[in-house]
This record gives sequence, structure tokens and C-alpha cells, in this order.
Amino acid sequence: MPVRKSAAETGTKSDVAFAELYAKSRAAEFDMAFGEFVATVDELARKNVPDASGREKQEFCSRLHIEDLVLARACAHGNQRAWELFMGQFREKLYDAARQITRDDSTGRELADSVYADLYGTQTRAGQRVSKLSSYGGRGSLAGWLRTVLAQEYINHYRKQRRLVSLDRECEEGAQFPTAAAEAVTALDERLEYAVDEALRTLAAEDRFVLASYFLDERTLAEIARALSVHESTISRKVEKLTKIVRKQIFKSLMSLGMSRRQAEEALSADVRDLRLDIRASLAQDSVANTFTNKEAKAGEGGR
Amino acid sequence: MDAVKKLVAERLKLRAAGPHPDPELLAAFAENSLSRNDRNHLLEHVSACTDCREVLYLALPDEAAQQVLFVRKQPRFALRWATLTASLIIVAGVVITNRTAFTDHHRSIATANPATSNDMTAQKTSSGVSSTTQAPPTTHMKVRPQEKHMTARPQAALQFDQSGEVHFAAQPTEDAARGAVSDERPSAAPQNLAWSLSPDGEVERSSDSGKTWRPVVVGSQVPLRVISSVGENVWVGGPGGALYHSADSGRTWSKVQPAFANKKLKSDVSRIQFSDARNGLVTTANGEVWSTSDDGQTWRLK
Repeated sequence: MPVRKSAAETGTKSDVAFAELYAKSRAAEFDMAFGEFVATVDELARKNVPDASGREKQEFCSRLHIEDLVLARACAHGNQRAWELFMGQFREKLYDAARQITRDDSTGRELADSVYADLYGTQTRAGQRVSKLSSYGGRGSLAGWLRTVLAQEYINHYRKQRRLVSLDRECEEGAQFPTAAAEAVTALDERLEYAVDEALRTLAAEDRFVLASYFLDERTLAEIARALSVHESTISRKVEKLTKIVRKQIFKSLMSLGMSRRQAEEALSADVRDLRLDIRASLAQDSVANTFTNKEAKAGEGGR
Repeated sequence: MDAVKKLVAERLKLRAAGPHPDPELLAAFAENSLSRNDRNHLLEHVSACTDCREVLYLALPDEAAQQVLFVRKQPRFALRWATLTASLIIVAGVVITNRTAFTDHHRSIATANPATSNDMTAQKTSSGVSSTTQAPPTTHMKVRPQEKHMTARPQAALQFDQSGEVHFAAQPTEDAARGAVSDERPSAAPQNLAWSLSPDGEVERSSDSGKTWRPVVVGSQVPLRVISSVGENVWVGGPGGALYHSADSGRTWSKVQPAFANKKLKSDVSRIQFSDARNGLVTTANGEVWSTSDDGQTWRLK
């Protein structure tokens, strides 16, 4: 662990900033030394903004949910006081969020218990408990992180259960989880497929996200609006505008691919539902079962 | 059989949309606290990854717990110029129309009571509000007329509910009834007023239902993350206990430092809820809930 002089000793701007963050984080209450605190924050900055200037790194650190970060790390290290605080602040929220995700009291409790065990750390590495909380990095709030972990666990759990359930029983029970249903898409002209792909490729990522959510996942305008923190009417206008843009772009591409104006018009206007299906097909992506494994999560961390 | 298995596995690998982001990135995205670059990177992934979209939607906080936010991208360059031009035309029109009235009004202020213009500020400073920042959201400044000169009827107040819907209150707010009328012409009361936080944590205001936005200077040293508005009262908060209040639709801002029983608000503000101009709650990331029933003059910690 790197040993650092105190801010007063060095007097540099970044050390003063670290000292302020340290005081704000209440790390001392959980017996986290200043050096350990600086090393933790330094490591996060190196991992998340490796090429940033000193000032940018400082800005990154100032945006961290520093109190949540310190609490999570202290819990991961087994600090009793930190655990008490965590339980007081987040246990109820954890169960509420699990119930909200599963929409069922007993399943929610089961899910929350399972995540809670991971948070506490049921596995050991080199004689030490490995807590999932040590992977929290403070970029979003701890409450938000917990909800996301619950959601990932729920999807994994559901997929696992789904593989074990017989097809007959699945048919009887019906679909319980609205994953992207593999709809039968009529084979379309290759040129039309290419044109749709091209049109989607030129869109901004946020626009593709809106289209994927609306056409593929069949999310409501209100849900998309909440995800993007904008008003519902903004999404409504955007979907309308994007649909027009995509149609126009497809039309252009078809013409450039050798279709006559009439053929292109026929291809587009023959059945609007075909176009919708085609957009859905282009946006669709097969999901790999048990998506959010620890291994992949680590790969994700490493990639950043 | 093994060969088929290998082929299927390889194809599945090819169809993957790259490594999944950390849960905290998805959480930060939902909380609108990612930098623009990180946000775009994440959107690239989630727009192609059904699973991550599913997680994102499942993990969204309860609708009732989500902030009323209008997050906007920075307006395009051309749009900024168009907005500026339109603003100048409006300002010129207002100045010409009201020129005579303002001249008379200046005379009356100079001869009557020169010390009354800061009454509101002084009142707040003496009761827990630490400083006031003058923040001109428009390109001009006008002298606020004294209450006794106001003859305009208070306009309907704009209110936001938790789902983000905009409502016009049938009755004027208490402040409006007292005569705290907008600096703009009475007819330009906040019929189409909307508030937003940019991805960089700046407050933005739209007076045309979100078609155009202009930044509002609050005076905060940190990026602001949550916003709430009731009528002309706007509250914004951010990291490190940053909390600012405007009682006049964003023309002036006061830094508010809630304190109760030797404890001050120092944690990251994660949520602000005001049911009316006087009663509200401020929640922090570490679970503290501060409440006020007098427009932020005094606070209690739950």
C-alpha cells in the first residue's frame, strides 16, 4: 500500500482535495487510514479515466459517491460498524427493490437474500471473504448499484430456472419474462435488409437505444422517458421523427442499390408492419444464457 | 456432436455485443451522473445488448421515487444563435413597450424608499440562508418593481408532478398572491416553463415547453444532480450538501445550508420533493431526510 504524506505536509492541491474527500467520506469512522483511502480512490481514477489529466482525475474523484464508496469498502473489509450502518440504510431498500423487480413478495425476498449473501461474501479467497461490495466503485449511488445487481441476478436466476423448466410446463405457464421474443420474420429482399442496417448504423447510439427499446423490447414511451430522464413527449416526438428518418434513409439506399423509385416505394409501402419487423430484426440480438457471470463482470471491469 | 457444439459456441461469441458494463455504470446512467463520453459509450452497448437494456429497465427506481428531470443535450450551434436572435427581438420589444413605465418607476423608487429592494434577501440571510447569487437568466436586467406598484394579476402557477407531467395550478401560489410577479411581462408568466439539468450538472430553463433551453447561472461550484420545482420556487441539489433555492423562477438563487441540532447537511443530495412552496423534503445519498415547512427557513432532520 503506498504511503503518502498528509495534505498538510505536502501542501499540494491534489492532496488538499484528497484530504477534503477523506473528511467528507467519514472513512476515519470505519478505521480506514488516509493512505488506504487515497490508494483506493487513485486506483479507481486510474481504472476509469486512465488517460485523463490531473485536473480531470480530480474532477472524476469529486464526482464519486464517496460516502457510499467508503461504506461499501469498509463492509467488504468486514468492519462491524460499517455493516451496522449498511443494514440500517440499505437492507430495507434492498428488499423493496427486489419486490419491485420480481413483482412478487416471496420471490423478491428470495432474490434479496441471495444478493445479500453475495454482498456479505460466502466464498473465500486466500482465507478472506470475498464480498461483492468490493466491486462497487462509487460512480453511481450505492442504492442504484444494489438495484442493478438485483436486476442482473434476477435475469440470471430466471434464465437458470427457464432452462430447467420443461417445455410443456413453460407453455402452460406462459411467458413470465418479456425478453426479446423471436418473432417469425418474413424473409425480406437482401437489399432491403442491407438498407435497414445502413440506416440504423447512421443513427446516434441514443436513437438506436430508443428504437430498440420501443420496437424490439416493446417498452412504453413512459419507460423509455424514465430511462433517459426526459419527458415522455420528448420520446414520443423522437420515435416519430426517427421512424421518418429511417424510412427516408432506407428509400435512398434502395435507390442507390439499383431499385427504381416505384420498386423502392413498393418495398417500403407494401406493408409498414414489414418495415417495423425488419427494424426489429436488425436491432435484435440473441442473448447468451446466464449473461452476467462474475467472469464476464470482471472482463467488463478489465475492459474499462 | 462436439464439432456442432463448438460451431454454435463460436457463433454465439460472435453475436455478443462486447463485455457488459459494470452495474455501477448502469446505475450511474439511470441517475444521469455519467460524463457525456461514458454515457455515449454505454448507450452504444445497451442499444445492441438486450440483456443490459433489460437490466437497465428493471433497475430503474420506483416511478414515485424518481426525480422530475428534463435532461437536455447541449443545443446545437445554429439553435443557440436562433435562440439568441429570438431573445433579442423579444427583449427589444419588451424594452420599447415598457420604456415609459420603467422610467416613471425608477423615479418613484429614487424618491420613495431606496432600501427596500433587498428586503427579501436580507430576510433569508438572517435565517439560515448563507448567501445570495444574482443570476440573470436572460440577456437583460430589469429593476424589480415594488409590490405596491404591481397591478398585474398573479398568473396560474406551473407545477410538476412526480411522473414529470406538467400541470397548471388553478389557484395562484401563495408567493404569487403576495405579488411576487415575474420580472418579465405579466402575460409571460410561466405558462410553458420547464426546468432541466444538463449532463454537466448545469441548470437549464425553457420558456417554450422544452423547444429551446438556456443555461441559468446558479453559482454552484459542483455539478448539480437533482431539481424540483413548484410554481416559481425551484430547488436544485448536488454533491457535498449543495442545495440552492430560487423563489423567482431562477432569477436569483440562494445557497441553503440546512442545519438541525448541531448537524448540517453535508451529504450528497439525491432527491428533492416539494409538495408546495413551503413544505418539502431533501433526501441524501446516505439516507438522511431533511424536511422544511417554511420555504427552507428552518429544517428538521428525520
